[in-house]
Amino acid sequence: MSLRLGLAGVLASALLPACNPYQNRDGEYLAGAVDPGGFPEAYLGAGGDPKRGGGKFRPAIAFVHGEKIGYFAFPFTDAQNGASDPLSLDNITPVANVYVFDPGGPAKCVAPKNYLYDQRRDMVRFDEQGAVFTRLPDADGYAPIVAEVPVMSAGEHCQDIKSEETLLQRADVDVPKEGGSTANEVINGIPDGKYLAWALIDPRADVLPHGPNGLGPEGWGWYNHYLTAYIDGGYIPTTVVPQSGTVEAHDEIVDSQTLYYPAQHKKTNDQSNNVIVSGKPGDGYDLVDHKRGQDGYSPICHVFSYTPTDPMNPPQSIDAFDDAEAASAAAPDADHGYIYCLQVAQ
Amino acid sequence: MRRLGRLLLLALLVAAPRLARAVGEQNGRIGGTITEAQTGAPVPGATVTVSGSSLIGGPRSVTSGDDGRYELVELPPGRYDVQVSYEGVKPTRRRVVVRQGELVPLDIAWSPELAQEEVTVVVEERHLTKPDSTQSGTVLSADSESKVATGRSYQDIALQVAGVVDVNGGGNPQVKGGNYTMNHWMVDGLDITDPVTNTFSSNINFDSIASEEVLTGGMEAQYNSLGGVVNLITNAGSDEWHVDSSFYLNNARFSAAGQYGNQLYNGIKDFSQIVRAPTQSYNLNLNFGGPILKHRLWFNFSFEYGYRESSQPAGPPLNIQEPPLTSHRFLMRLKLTWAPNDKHRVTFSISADPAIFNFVDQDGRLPVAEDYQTQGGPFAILQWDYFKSQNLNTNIQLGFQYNGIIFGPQGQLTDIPSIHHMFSDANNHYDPNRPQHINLDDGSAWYNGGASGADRRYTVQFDPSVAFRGHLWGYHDAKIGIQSRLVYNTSHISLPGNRVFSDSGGGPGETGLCSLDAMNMVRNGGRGCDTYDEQAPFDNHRWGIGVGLYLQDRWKPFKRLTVLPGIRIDFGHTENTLGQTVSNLLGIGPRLGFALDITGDQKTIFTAFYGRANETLSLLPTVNADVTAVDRTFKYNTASQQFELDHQSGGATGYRLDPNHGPDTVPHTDEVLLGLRREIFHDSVAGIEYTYKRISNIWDAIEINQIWDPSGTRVVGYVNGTPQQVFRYTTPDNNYRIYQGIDFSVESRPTPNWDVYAAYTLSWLYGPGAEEFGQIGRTSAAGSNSQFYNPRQAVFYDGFLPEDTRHQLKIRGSYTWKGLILGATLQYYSGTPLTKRFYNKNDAGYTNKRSPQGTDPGVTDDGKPLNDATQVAELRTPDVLVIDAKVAYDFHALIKQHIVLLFDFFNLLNLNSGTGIVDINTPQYGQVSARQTPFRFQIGLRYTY
Repeated sequence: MSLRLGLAGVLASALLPACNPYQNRDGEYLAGAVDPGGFPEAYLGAGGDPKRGGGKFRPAIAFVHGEKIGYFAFPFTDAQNGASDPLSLDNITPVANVYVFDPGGPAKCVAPKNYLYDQRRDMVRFDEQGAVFTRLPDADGYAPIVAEVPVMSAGEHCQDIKSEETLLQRADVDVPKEGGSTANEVINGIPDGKYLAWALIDPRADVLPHGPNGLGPEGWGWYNHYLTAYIDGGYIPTTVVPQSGTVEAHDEIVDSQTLYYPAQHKKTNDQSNNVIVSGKPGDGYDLVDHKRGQDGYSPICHVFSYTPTDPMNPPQSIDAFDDAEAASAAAPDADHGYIYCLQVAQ
Repeated sequence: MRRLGRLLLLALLVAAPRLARAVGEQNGRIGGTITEAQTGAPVPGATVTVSGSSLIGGPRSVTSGDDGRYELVELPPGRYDVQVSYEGVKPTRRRVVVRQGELVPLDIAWSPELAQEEVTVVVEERHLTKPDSTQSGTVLSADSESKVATGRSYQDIALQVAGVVDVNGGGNPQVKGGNYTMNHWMVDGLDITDPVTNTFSSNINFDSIASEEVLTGGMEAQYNSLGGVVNLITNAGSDEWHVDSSFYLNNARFSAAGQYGNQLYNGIKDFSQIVRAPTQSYNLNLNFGGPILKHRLWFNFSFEYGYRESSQPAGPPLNIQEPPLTSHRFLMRLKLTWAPNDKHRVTFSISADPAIFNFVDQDGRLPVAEDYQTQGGPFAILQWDYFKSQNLNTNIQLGFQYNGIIFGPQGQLTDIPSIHHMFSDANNHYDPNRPQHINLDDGSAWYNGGASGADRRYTVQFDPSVAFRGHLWGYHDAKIGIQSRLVYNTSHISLPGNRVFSDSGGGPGETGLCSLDAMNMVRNGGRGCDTYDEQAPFDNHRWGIGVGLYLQDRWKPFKRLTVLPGIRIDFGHTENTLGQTVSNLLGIGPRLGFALDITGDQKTIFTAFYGRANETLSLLPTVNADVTAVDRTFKYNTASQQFELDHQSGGATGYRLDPNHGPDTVPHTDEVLLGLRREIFHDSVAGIEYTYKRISNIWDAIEINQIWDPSGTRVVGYVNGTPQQVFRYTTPDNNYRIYQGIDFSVESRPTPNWDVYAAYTLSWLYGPGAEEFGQIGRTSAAGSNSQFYNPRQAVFYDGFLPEDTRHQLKIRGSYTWKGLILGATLQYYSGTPLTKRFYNKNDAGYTNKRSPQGTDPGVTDDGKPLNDATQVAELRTPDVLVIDAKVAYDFHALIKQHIVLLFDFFNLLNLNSGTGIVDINTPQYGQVSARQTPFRFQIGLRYTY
C-alpha cells in the first residue's frame, strides 16, 4: 500500500499548479526605480549617498544679459578633459541612444479611459510616455549626452514601454531600427543625428526648485524596466569638422557657450557683514551668453573667470564688462575648461 | 423551580453576546457495525456499553440499529472498554483509545466462538483513519509527549504537526499559509485567542493538558479559523487518586556556548573569550486529582512555577553588564467535573497565569533605561452537557477571560544600581518625569525606560449547541449551535515626562546627548539635538460583539460514504474609543466534505473538502483604527537653535474607517483539500493530503495622505495638506495569500512500546499579503512591510511570503522498554524568504525594496547594483535542523513507585544554522545575526501516582 501511496503522491505533485509568484514579472513589467548605487557622485546630488540617497540638485544662478536664469552643472569626464579637443563626441564612447516619443510635439500615446492623474496613486503620469534610456551613469566616464532616436506613437498605451528590448519589438510604435535580419543579429534603433543633454540622476534626489507638485523640473523615463530621473538640458548644437592637417581625426564636435564667473565677489558672513571671497562657478554671479530657447544656447559651457572691478557689485551681463574685466577674462589663465550647464525649459 | 430554570436559560440566550468564533470539540466517538462473523449479516439490538476512567457518571450504553450500526458519542478522550452483549450470549470486550474530535472505527464481527475467546483477551486498539472526517491534523496526547523532549508548552508541541511552522519563533505558528494572527486557541472549548492580537493569550500548565488537537484544514462548520485550530483538553479527575509532580533543572552550565562568527558557515570558535550569557530556568510542577464523590464529582488541580533568567554579555556601546532578564511564572488550574446522574454532566474550570518579567530589553542598556512587564489573568469555563437520549444531547458553555499586560520603566519597581558610577547621577535613581533619551549615534538609551502602559482584555463567551441523530435517506449525526463572544479592551499609555528624545550627531555615549535646562532651553550649542516626540498620557477602550450560527451534518447515505455538509453564518461588530464602528462584517461559510471508505473496512479513506471560513470579529483592526494620543515630533533647527514642530501624528484625524463588508470582502479563507488515508498495519496509518488555500481580504491599513515622489523615498506632499499619515482601515481585495502543499504523514503505535509520528510537507506560500497592520512583518521597520504603506513599493509585494517553507520534515518517536524511555523529535525546515531592503530617508529606516519580496536584486562583482531585473535571485535563510532527545528511566520496577529520572537533550547535534540574516543594504548584509540555540540539556525528576 505504501507504494500506492507514493504513486499517489507523485501524481498529486505533478498536478500541482505552477507556484512561481515571479511569473508576473514577465513581459513589460515595472521593476521599480533604478538603483543609483553605481552613479558618479555628481549625479547623486549635493550630499547624496549612493546607498542612502538624500542628494539635492539646486540650480546655479546665472545671468543672461541681466536676466536671471538657473542651470544644473555637471563636470566633464576625465576622458573629455584629457582629450586634445574636449568637445569631440569621440571622447564619449559610446554615445548612448535614448528613445524619445513623439519628439517636439504632444504625447500621442493612449491614456487609460477617463484618466485623471492622481499623484498619490500614480508613480508617473499615464497620459505621457517617458523616454527609454539605454545606459545608466557609471564610474566608467558617464557624460550626460545621448543620441535621440525618435519614436512615433501608433496606438501604444502610455508608459507601457519600459525597455529598449521591448520597444524594438512592438508593433504599435514606429521606430527607425536596423539589424534583426538573422536570429542572432541585434536590433538597434537608428538615431536621427540629434544629441540631447539629458543627465540621468539619482531618482531619490530632491531637485529644486519645486513646482506645485512638490517635485522639481526633472523628467522621468525608463531604463530596462526601471524608472529613471533625468535633467533635461535640451538639444546640443554640433558642428561637423572635416578631418584635415592640424585638426584631430574626428568628424563632429559639440558647440558650447561661454560662462564667466567673478574671481572675487561679496559674501555675507555669520556676523551679517559683507566680505570679499574667492569666486567659483555657481556662486550666483555667473554670466552666460544664451538662455534655453535662444539661438546659440548650448548646455555645454566654456568657463572663464574674470576679475571684477567692483567685487561688491559684479556685473550681471557680459555686455557690462569694462575694459579691465574684458581683459582679465581674455587672459590665458582665465580659461577653466568645460562643464555641462543644463538649463531646463521653463 | 423548573420554570425559574427555563427563564434563566431564556434570559441567557437573549442577553448573550452574539459573536462568532470557533468552539473546540472536546469529545470523541466510537462507532461501527456489528455483524455476524460468518454471514456478514448485521446484528441489530445488541447492547454496546462503554466504560472508562475518563467517563464520569458510569458506563453508558446504546443499542445497535437494524443495520447493526452503533455509535457512542460525547466520550471524553481516554481509554475505554467497549462491551457488546446480547441477551443469552457471552459478551465481547474490546479496548480502544478515544481522541478528541475523532471517531474510533470499531466494526465487530461477532460469533459465539469469538465471544468466548475475546472475553479474556483485551488488546488496546487505536484506529486512526478518521473514516468519517475530512479534518487534517492530529491529536497529541500527554502520554506521547511525555516520552520526548519538548519545550513543555502547548505552543511548542503544536510544531510537531505537518503544515505547522513558526518562522517568527514567538509561539504563534503559521498553519498552512495562515499568518500567526489567524489561528484559534481553545482550552476545554473556550476560545482563548487574544481578542486584540489574535494570538494565544494564556499559558497553561503543561502537565494539566490531557491532549492537544491540532487542526490544520478541512474543518467542520463548528470551527471558524483562517489558519489552524489548537484545541486543548485538560485533565479532569477520576475515581482514582492521581498525583503528578516534577522538577526540571536547566542550569546555565548545561548549555553549550554559542561562540560562532557572523559568516554563514562559521564553525565554533574554540578559544573565543566571549562570555557565555547565563540562560537558565527551573520548573516545578504539582498536579493531583481524584474523586470528591465517587462516580459523581471529580476534581483536578494543577500548579506550575517557572523561573527563567537570561542576559546578554557586556558589549558595545556601553560595555556594561546589565542585570539579567528574570521571569517568574505561576500557572494554576482547577477543574471540577460533576455528573449528578447519567443524563447530565457539568464541568467548571478556572485557570490563571500571572507572570512577572524584569529587565526585559536586554540590549546592554543601563538599568535605569530598562523596562518591566507583568502579564496574565484568569479564565473560567462552565459547561453543561445534557444527554437526553441516544439521539439527542445538548451542550451549553459559558466562559470568561481576563488577561492583561502592564509595563513600564523598571525603575518603578526596583532601586536602580549605578554601574561603577560610570555615568551621571541622573542614571542612578528613578525620576518618573525624566524623559528617556536614545542616542542614535550608538543606540544607547538613557535616564529612563520607555512608555508605561496597561492593556487589559476581557472576553465573555456563550456557546449553546444541540446534537441530534437519526435516519433520513441514511444516517445523520447533526449539530447546530450558536457561538457568541463579547470582547472588551482598555489601554493606557504614557511617556516618562511626556517626551522621548532621539539624539544624534553629538557622538556616542552620554556626552553625545542633547542637553536641555529646566526651562527647556537647549544647551551646549544644541550638540546631539535632533528630534523629540511629545505625547500626553492617553486612554482607549474598544469593544466587539458577534454571533456565529453553524449547522454541521455528518450524513451516511451509504455505508462507505460520509457526506459532510455544513454552513456557518457569522456576524461581527466592533467599535473604537469614540464609538465609531470599525467593522461590521457578515460572513457566510459553506462547507462540503466527502469521506469515502474505499475498501469498506474503514481502513482506506479518501476525502475531499471545500470550505470557507470568515473572520468577522477581531479587535486588531479596531485597536489600529482608533483615536490615539497626538504625537508631535519636534526637530532641532540649527539655525534658530531651537526645537521646532516638524509634524504630528495620531489624534482623531489619523485614520479613516471602512467598516461595512459583505460576504465577499470579509477576511476569509477558501480551502480545497484532497486526502487519502490508509491503515498500513496495526494501529498505524499513512496519509497523503493536498491542500489549496487562498486567504483573501486580509485586514490592513492603507496610507492615503502621503504623496511620494516617483522613486518612493521622499514624501513630497500631502493630500489634505497636513503633514501626517492617514490610514484607511479596510480589507483590500489585493491583500491575499495562497498556499499549496502536500503532506505525507505516518502515525503509528504498532505495539505499546512504540509511538511514532512522521510527516513531510512540500509547500508553497505566495502572494502580496505579507502584512496585517504592521504586526506580522519580519522586518525591523514595523508597518513598512505592507504593500499599502507606500504605493511606489506595491509592485514588489508579490512573491514568496516570509513564512514560505518549501520542505518540512517532522519526526517524533519513542520506545519504552522495562521502564527505560527513549524518545526523540526531529524537525527540519528549509529556509524562509528574506528580501533585501534599502534605505528610505523619509522613514529613516530600511523600508524599501528593489525587487519582489523573497529576493535580492543582485550586485556586480564590485558591489554595484545590477539594475537588471532578470538577475533577481531568491533570498532565503539557511535550512534548519533540530534534533531533541530524551532518555528517562522509570524506577517502578525497582521500588514500586513511578519515579522517573529524565534527561532532555535539545539541539543534540549542536547545529548552528543562521536563523537571522542581516537583510538591509549595509556592509553587514548577508551576515548572520542569530543562530540556533546551542545544545543544552535539562534534568528532571517526576513522580506519578
